[in-house]
Amino acid sequence: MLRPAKSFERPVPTKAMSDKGRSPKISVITPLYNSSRFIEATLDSLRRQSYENWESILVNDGSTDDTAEKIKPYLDDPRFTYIEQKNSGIAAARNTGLGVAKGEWVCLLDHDDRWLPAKLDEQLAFAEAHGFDIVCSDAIAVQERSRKRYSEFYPAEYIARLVRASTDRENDVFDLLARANFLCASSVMLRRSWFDRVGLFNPDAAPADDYDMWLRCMPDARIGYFSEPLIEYYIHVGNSSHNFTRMIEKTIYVLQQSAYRHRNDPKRRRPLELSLIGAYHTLLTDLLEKRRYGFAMRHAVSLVARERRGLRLLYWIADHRLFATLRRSIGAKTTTQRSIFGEHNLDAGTDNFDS
Amino acid sequence: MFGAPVSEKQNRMPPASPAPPPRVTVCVPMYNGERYLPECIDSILAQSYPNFDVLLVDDCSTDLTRSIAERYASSDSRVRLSVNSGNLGLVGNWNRCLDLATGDWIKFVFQDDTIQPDCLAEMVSAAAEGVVFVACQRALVFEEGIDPAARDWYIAHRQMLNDLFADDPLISAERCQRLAIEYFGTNVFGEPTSVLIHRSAFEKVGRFNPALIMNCDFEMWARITIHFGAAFVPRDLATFRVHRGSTSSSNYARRLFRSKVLDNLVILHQYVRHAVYEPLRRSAERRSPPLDLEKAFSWRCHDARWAAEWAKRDPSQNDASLLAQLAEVTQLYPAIARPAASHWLWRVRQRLLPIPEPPLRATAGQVL
Repeated sequence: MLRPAKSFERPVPTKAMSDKGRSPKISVITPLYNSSRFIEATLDSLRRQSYENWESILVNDGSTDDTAEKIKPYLDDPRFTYIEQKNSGIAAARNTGLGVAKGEWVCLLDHDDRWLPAKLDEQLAFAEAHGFDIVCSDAIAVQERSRKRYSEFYPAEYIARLVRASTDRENDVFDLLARANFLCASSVMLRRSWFDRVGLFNPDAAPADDYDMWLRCMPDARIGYFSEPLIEYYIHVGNSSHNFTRMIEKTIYVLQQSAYRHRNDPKRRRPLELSLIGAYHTLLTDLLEKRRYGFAMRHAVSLVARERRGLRLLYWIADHRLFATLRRSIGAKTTTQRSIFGEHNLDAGTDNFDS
Repeated sequence: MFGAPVSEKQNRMPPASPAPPPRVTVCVPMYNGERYLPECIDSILAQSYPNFDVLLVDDCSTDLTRSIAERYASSDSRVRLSVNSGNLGLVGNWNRCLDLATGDWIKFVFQDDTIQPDCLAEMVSAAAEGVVFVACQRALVFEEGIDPAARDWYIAHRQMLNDLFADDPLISAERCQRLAIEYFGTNVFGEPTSVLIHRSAFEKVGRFNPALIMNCDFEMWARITIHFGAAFVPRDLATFRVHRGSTSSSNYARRLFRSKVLDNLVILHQYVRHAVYEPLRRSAERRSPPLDLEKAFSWRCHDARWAAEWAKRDPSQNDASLLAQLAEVTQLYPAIARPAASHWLWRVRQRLLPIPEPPLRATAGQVL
């Protein structure tokens, strides 16, 4: 049917229309450090992806085992790029990978994690449908024979709010992110342009460098949470997050920086401060348990000097410890709850998950 | 009253002929440049771009510059000559060019530089929609007898720029914000001869800052690009002539203080205080660890005063002119006179003891 062309009748191209049928390139960055035990399974899981247009950047961060030999057969595939550097930490290795990444989206894939085959496909569709800048997903935590959903470690209300926030523009995930790093690093996919905006990973913040990055992207970035598990997360002795004390120390470092950034905005600063208090409590309890009194003293001083309610919290921890000692002296078994949240209920009056 | 029906005439598509290319004004600020001026103007008139005019602005030269310019203005209708009523100085003359320019795009070409015949055409076509700032690579020409260290510095600098933008012709505003911090004081887009700027950029962020004597182009580019981003043409479209610097002259240290320390201090002051730099301040906070520009500024104020006081009290120098220069800048930007609290402790101490030699960062103008 012929109709006269009128300029006002032409459909205005919308973002959704122009994205349809598009397959942007995804850069997958994998830092390697002594990873010969897992790397084949990891890279096989990448090659099984149903989405084809990806490039993998393998950064060997000065491994001392036979990782390089294990990689060799994969390099026949032109989609793999291999870079070697002297050992300088996971954040530096990720930065090296970002330096050569060409894709529109960037994924992080840690050497000991595995992706489920639909990971890239599902996440890309999810991100482009809702216009997210960062998407993450649930994970399956595998430890020896047990398989658990990553989300099971979190309170149900937390996950419920996260899922709601993913479909509703009004819901803000900032305070959820301030409470815990719900983005499992290997499940994250984000637009590469965000690295232009906020800069690269901070090597000083490793192993919490990924948490640092997400906090820097906030509150401008839109974070999407895909509630089905798309990756397998292996818990073993060599995990970089295994050194619990160091992880908490760096989390405190990252939270302090973020609290400084939002110092003029009480609405943003508040959840960060609450989270800081929880992290300090977890750290001090942990150090006292390990009998590292010197470190505990140093952190206690920095807590009192830097945080608003530091003295009150210190008193609370000391009190708690005293009761624990008394209980132990009468022969009762002591348990220390060490959840992902630290001891958030410290401030139960203000810290409920509003729905 | 309720919106008149759109008439058929208004509704019709515009005629199919392509839009005429936007007009470019090529500005040549001139001051005592008789030696290379004909070469410069010839290279401009040889442009393949169809729609441009040339604006020669003479800042009261004392040599043959003006008569050369008059000859070109009378022989070619595209060339216009304007003579300032008094000497405005280098930056003042640049701003005068901006006042007199009539084109949509403004291109500076300095009196001793040249541009390639396709320079304007290439740069205008590189400007995608929304781009108001286009930079290109430039070739370097060294004058006879140049200091080899300066020569090496320029060659390394040129290589750095080419590497920096090699992969991406379009540079986002966010990236420019990071560059303005990470490469503070280093002009990553090149001299005015190698950039093309849309008029609207100056309307939004203002003109060159006459308080600066050395880094005014860096500061101007920073101000534009942190809002609009930039485009980069990876080809040598301009030629920049590097002159013999007079590093042996007696007032070298004094000029270094003005051009490096005080200029950088003024730029940092603008970063911290000026409303136009709001995006840059946000970018500084997003860094990890966040960069405290306020603190950097107050420490550099302290450093500058230290270097100036030292030059005055040191028996081998006994030079009070640095303090005078500092006072001059402080008149324009009073915040520079209010340094960190620790500086006042330092001032009390220096009443009793001789001032130690300032660290290198205080004399070299390192800022961040």
